[in-house]
Amino acid sequence: MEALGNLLFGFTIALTPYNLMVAASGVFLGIIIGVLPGLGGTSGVAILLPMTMVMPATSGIILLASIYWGALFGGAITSILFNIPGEPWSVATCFDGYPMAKQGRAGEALASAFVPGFFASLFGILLFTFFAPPLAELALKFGPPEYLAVLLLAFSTFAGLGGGPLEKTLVSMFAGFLLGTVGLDIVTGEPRLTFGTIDLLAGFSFVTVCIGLFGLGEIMVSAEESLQFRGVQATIRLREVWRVVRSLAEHLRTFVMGTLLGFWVGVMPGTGATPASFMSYGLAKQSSRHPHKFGTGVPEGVMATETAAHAAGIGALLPLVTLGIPGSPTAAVMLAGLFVWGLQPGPRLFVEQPDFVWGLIASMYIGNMIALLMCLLLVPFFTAILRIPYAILGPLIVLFSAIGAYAVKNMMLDIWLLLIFGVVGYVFKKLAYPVAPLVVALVLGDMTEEALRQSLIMSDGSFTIFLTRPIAAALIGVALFIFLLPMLRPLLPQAVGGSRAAPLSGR
Amino acid sequence: MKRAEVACVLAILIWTGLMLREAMRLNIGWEASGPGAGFFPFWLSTGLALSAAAVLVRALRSPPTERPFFPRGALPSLLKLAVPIAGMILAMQVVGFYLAGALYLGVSMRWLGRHRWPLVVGVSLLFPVAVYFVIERWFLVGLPRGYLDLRPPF
Repeated sequence: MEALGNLLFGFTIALTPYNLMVAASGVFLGIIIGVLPGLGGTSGVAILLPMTMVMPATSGIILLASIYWGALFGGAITSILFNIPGEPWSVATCFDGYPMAKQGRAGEALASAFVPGFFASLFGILLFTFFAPPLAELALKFGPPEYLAVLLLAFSTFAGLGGGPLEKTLVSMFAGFLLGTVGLDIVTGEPRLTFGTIDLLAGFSFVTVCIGLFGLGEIMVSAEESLQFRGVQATIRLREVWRVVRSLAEHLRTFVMGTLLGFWVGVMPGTGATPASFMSYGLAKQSSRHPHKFGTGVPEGVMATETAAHAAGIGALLPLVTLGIPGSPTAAVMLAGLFVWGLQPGPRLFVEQPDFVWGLIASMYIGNMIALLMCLLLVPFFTAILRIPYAILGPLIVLFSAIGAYAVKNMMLDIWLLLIFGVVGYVFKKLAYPVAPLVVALVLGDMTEEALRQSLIMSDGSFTIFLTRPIAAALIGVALFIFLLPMLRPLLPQAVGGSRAAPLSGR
Repeated sequence: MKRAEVACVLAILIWTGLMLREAMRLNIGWEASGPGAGFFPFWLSTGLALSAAAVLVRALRSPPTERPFFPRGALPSLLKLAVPIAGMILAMQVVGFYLAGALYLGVSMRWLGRHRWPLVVGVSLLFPVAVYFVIERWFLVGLPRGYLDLRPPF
């Protein structure tokens, strides 16, 4: 019950007028980012990260997290009303949401996205509130070898569960690590891979790489498609909300399955709301009594997708706060935020920065409530944003990306890098290289190297330290197994057909 | 698609080669206190080269696909987006963020969106003013001023 006391303490922080305003503006911006196709939650958080440098750390994380919650809600609006996914995690929301809207049930479809999504978030936050402290306590006992093992586990989930071609995942991951080593060596102080330039001494800024790969890359991909917004107008009536709330009991199985699956996929490093939403839709369809109706406008389809996406968003922050390992690419950007605010990520946060951790947890409850209210009341306003012509919106997003990239280090080089990584992101996306491993490897590279070096110093350079410590050995064993999974897969006769079907590498 | 795949992986291999050469100038072996400065860059580049080689082998062995890398009309619309951005960054080096940003916004609106002149001028003027007050004054983030070191007149 200690958690309850801490949570109350957290609410005293999150409910201050300033933090409440920060949460509300974060959610508002997040919904707009969510509604706009071609501007994803990950890049939205990355673009706005530099703006939090002037805030206290707690307000900064509340802003970024609230943008994430808002984007999780907002994506569904565009999917349902325009049949264009506002976010990658709401692609599957189109499948049943748009048919419902065309049948004149747009309000019900929107309510079926928002209300179960909110309850899934709430359920996820409850799990978070009570699981995070014991997990952090366990992680506090970890030394560098155990920590390295956890990191290895994180990276092996990319390779093993990534779904895409293994060699492309590895290219992406190695490239991220390699970019991470550019700059001053943490131990010897020598400049590494700088090609003799001074500008590269500080290394590649994670924020720039992220905005380039996700933000600019996405805009380039969507520039090809020249989207047309012809959709359905809708407002949500209270009656429809009530009907969905009551139908939750009827669809309890879809709801619980989606939430638990989403939360678990969210906790797994690197895989966030997008794969969770696809997996949950597939699972709901398979286990339904009427699978053939999926895709024609059944509320369960919307519900399954949205519950999983929302729960995954919450779950992705669990390893971030307890271990310092991001559970999704968006969480990876928030991890970069921790460094910007001068905090040391990891389990010691619970001991040294309780106001930060518990303020964040309390703000999750508040942020999601604000998001639900805004969405239920303001759908017509948010769809009006889509009427802003692309020739104005696109350049504005590019300009704000440039501000975000420049603000971290005040260097023009970062704006050029933004364009370069934009092109890289575009090419990677078209050729099916997963981008998430690159950004996570880049942000975790230093920590991985540090953990390895410290372990080797502890053991005087002997690698046996990883085998003689039970927790480390067990975790490395699991990591190896997951890593080898794609190679074992062809050996399993029944899995040959559909093993590549689910795209797991997203945000 | 196949040619694009091969070209992309060759580009990655060339970049890896450059990184590898840069890493070799450092100590890639073991020092008294642990791995040398070049140890991780060297092995990471090697790993990257091997994975890229695997991509190359698979790409070369796969049958050619019908799907082109650029669908019809994709390349022009992509260039229309990317070229103004590159131009804007170049301009930013010289005249700073505000002027370059306003010009870029105006050019995109007029040339790509074919909007009316009053709207184009209005948005292009409003943008730098709004950014100045929100970003520089409120969030205290300085923006590029360029070689000419242009400052807002107020």
